[in-house]
Parts: sequence; C-alpha cells; structure tokens
Amino acid sequence: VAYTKFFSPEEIDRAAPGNVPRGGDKDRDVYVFDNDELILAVNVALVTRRPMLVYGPPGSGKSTLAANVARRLGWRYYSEVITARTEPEELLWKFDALQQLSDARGSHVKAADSYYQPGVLWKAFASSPDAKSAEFDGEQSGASLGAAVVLLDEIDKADPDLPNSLLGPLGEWRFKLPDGRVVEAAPNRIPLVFITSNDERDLSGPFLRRCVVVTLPQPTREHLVTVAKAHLGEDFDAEAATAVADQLIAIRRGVAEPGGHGPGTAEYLDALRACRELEISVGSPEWKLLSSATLLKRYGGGEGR
Amino acid sequence: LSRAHEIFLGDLARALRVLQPTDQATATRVARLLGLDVKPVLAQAMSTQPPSTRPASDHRLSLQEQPQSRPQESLLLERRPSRPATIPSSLSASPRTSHTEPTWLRTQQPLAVTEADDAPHSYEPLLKQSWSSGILVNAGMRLVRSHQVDVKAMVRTLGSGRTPDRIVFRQRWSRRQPVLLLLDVSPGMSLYHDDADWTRKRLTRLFGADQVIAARFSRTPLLGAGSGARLTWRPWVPPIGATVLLFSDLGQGKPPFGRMETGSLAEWLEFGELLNRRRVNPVCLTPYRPGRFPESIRRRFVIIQLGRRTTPKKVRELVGRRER
Repeated sequence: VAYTKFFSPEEIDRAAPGNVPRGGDKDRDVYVFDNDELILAVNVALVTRRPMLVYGPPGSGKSTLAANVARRLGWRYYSEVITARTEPEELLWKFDALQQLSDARGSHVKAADSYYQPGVLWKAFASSPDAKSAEFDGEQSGASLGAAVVLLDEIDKADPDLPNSLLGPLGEWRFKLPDGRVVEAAPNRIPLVFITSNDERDLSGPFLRRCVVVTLPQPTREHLVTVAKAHLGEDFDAEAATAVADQLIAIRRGVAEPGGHGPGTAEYLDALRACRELEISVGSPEWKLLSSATLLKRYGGGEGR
Repeated sequence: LSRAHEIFLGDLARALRVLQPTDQATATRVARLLGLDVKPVLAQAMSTQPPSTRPASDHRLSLQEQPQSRPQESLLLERRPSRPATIPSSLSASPRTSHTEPTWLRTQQPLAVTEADDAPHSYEPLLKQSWSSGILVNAGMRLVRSHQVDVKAMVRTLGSGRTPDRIVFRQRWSRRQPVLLLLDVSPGMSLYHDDADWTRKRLTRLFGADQVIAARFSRTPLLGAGSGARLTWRPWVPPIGATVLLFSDLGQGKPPFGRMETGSLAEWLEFGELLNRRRVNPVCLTPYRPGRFPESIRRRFVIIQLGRRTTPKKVRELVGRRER
C-alpha cells in the first residue's frame, strides 16, 4: 500500500466477509475493484471533496461503480440518469406548479414550500429527511442521516446549462431554493458524487477543472475472468470464462465502426450464463450461434465472426 | 462562470497530507487525477543520488511552469556546429569598400535546422480558442419548451383579469435538435477549407457525432448539396423547423480566378426565402464582417463572423433575437 486508503474495498470485504457479494447476487451488487488507479481516484475524491468524473467504454463499470462504493462505505445512494430533456434545477428540486394551480382552483392551496420536491442532490445534502423526502424514500422523518453517494449518469447527454448549473452546488455543497430556503450539506457529511460520461460530447472546461477525472480502461482478459468468478461463484468454469473472454476481446478488436466499442462485461456474463445453463461448450456448433446472439450481435468485426 | 472552487494546489496539498503517499509515483498519480500537471522537481537528482541519502525535502512537487532543467535544449545546442571562440575579423575590421565575397563567409557553416523548424505549423482557428466552444454551441442551440411553468406570464394573465386558456411554459436553450451543417466549397471559400473542416469537427465534439449532419455545396444549396461526390448532390430543402448552420461567404467572397462562379445575391435571397417558408432561422458562420453583407441578406440570415472579436454572449444575443 503506497498511501493511506480511506476507501479500501479489500479491507472492507475482509472486515465484513458476510457482506461480500457472492455468485447469484444481483449483477449490480457485484463489482470487481482490481484497478488501483480507480481506487486511488475514489480516495482522492473523498479527501478533496470533489466530484468524480468517470469516462470509459460501455460495459466498463462506470454506472455500477457508485452504487458499489456506497454499499461498501455504508452510505446512502441516490442516482439520476441524465437525458437531453433533464433540466438543470431538476437535480436540486422540482416544483409542482400544476398541482399548485389545481389546488388554487379548488381554493385549498397549501404553503408554497410544500410544492417543492427534492431532487437527488437535495436528498444527498440533507442531514435529516424532511417530511416530503422521507415520504418519498420510505425513511423515518427526523432521523439523522449519514453521508450519501450520488450518481449522475451520462452527463454528456445533457444540454450545456446542466453541468454549468452544478458548479455552484458541487463547489459549495449548498444551494438556495427559489423560496429562499438554503439546503446545505453538513461538513462531516459531504456527499461523494460520481458523474459518468460516454464522451459523446465535450464538457466545458470549468466543469472539468472541478472534477477528479478518471478513465476506466477496456476490460482485459484477466479482469473479465475475475468478474466471471465474482458473479458466478460456484458455477465458475475457468476454461469457459477464458475462452469467452478471448472471443469477446477478438470481437472488440475487429469492430470497424469509428468510436465503436463492441460487447461489454454484461454481454460477457450473458454468454457465460447461457453456456452454463444450456450446457453449450465453447467451440461447439451451437456456440457459434450463441456467440453471435450474445457477443457479436451487429457489431461487425473480423476475428470474432 | 466563476473560477472559484476550481481544483487548485490546495486540493493537492490536502490529498497528499491525508493520503500520505509513500512514493513519488503515487503522489504524481494523485496530482494527475486532480488535473494538475505536476512533475517531480528532483527527478534528476533522484537518478543521481542513492535513495537513502535523499533528504525528505526532495519529495516536494512543483508546477510545470516553474523553471526546470531543459535537456531538449541542450540536445539542440549539441547538434549545432561549434562557433568560433574568437570574434570574426569582419566585426572588428573597418568596413570594406569592395563587393567581393568576404573570406570569413567561406569558413562558416550554414545555421542548424532544428526539428521544430521543419515541423508543419499547427492550425490556428479563426475564433478565439477559449471562446470557440461557447460560440459554436450558442450558434447551434435553439429555444425549446422547458418543464417549468412560466409563473410570471401566468400571473400577468391572471393579474389583467383574463382567464388563462393554456399553461404557459418557460423556454430554455437546448442542443437536443440535430444540426444540419452546410459547408460552402465554392471557389470563393477555397481559402477557408481548413476552417470549414475545423468547424465541422468542433461541432461534432460539442453536439455529438449523431447530432451533426454535414453536407457540402457550391454556389448555393439550392443548386445541389450532399455528403458524397458532386455528381450525387441534389437540390437541398431542409425539414420544417430544422436547425441549419451554414459555413459560407453567402456569395460575398471573390474567387481566386475571375471566371470562377460563386453564388449571386439573387440566388442567396431565393434560398433565404425558402428557409423562411420552412420556418428555419439560418445561422451563417462566415469569415467576413456582417457589415459587408447587403441588408436583404442580413434580414434573412443570422451572420456570425468567425473572428477574434466574436464572443459567446454576442452570438447568444444574435440568435436569441431571431428565435424570439
């Protein structure tokens, strides 16, 4: 260990072996932390209190990272998938103007603040859930909350105003609601924010300069086999896992489309599970069909075909 | 955008203090993750000194801007021919009156040509580099209906005693619509071939590869446009309400040779009329200043000069005025 690790998945798993996900658990609950650079990046983001911007090819584990860090740290977890229609303030709050208008017509309008619903960052900043978010999350109102992990997935899909509107809240860990209330994260409960990007569009310089940036590499054969072992548990077959991993890497190399990536980890696990359940061995005539359906798909490619 | 809260050296100091990296490689990785290009100051010293004799202060890091040893320069100096140690007689002697070749000239070797001299010059865009993203994004964005109710508009309606017959939503700028990019390859634009290529590439990075549909044309798009060979070009008509960006001189640039043809004012006005009928607000990126274009053209096209004085704010104003 070349530094003091505040987030060390290995140590956390060793301390609580009962919590280590095993084969048969949901895929999103299993994550293989075999990338030292990634673990260092999580530690740097934790101690500098900076959001972590994660790049990487599809299937490299960008989106599942946040949930698994949250689970290992024992922190709350909130996520939001960004689309072209996501508006900047929706990550902070949502105002139900139509409900207010409807209530006004019936002459039973409530106080203005009751029409604000918390967005993911409001929930993550809050140290105790208010009535509205408690109701939303099934939590007990008034109970003290721990720190939270937030995932903002696929930020490159958003309009430029969205990342720029996050500069303030993610820099100061506070923001103001239109009715004047201030939502602020307690100093000892600063959330850890993961932001993922498929690099389809450039992000603004000021946004990049506020983030710890890490790029996940293409999965290697060793990584894929380790992932298979973690996911399949007792059903793990090293020979099949290696053969399927080699096939996947060959397809990825042969992807002709510029910017194309080929199959990812999820497709690799699908192929392995199908092989196991259907009792198809790699190299058999059926394997070609299975490989075509689960790995090759319409990616094209040379060697894998 | 404020520069406050950007990652700075304090973040690096905090990370190093808390994480306590035991080697320089890890410290450098931490700095790189924070986007700070830090190099070990005493990397050379480390290579010459045994680690055990190295003082603790050797672990200090410095920003790249600080003076560093310059091995590349010394390499260049070594490659140059050695100069004479004494002052050439031509500098100390009185001026000659004859025009014969001086004797010292024959003893001199030509100046050394470095690799940097041979390297092709890098492309310099017409726009100010730091503003280019903002300018192009603002040129390609359009106003769309937001999810937010326009409370002020609703209050105005109610306050004037009228019953609202519809919910009014606020508008916001968005790049969700695909951008149809038309690149002018007329002879008059031949000087700006690299700029057209740069514009297309930057727009693709800013809007996404699947959101920018580029086509080339000569004279005007009405005579034919397309992404393939000229023979395949067809008269170009945009979809209704499309976002259209032109990279063109709108017929104002002079071709390098007199007999070459370029789009006439009448042709461009006809194209502008067509766009108007299709409810398209065309934005034209051009190397020329707007004042050079006739009033009739300026009424039909938003003219944005690709120049160092163009700012993102100015572009937002010009496009916004037409959108509203």
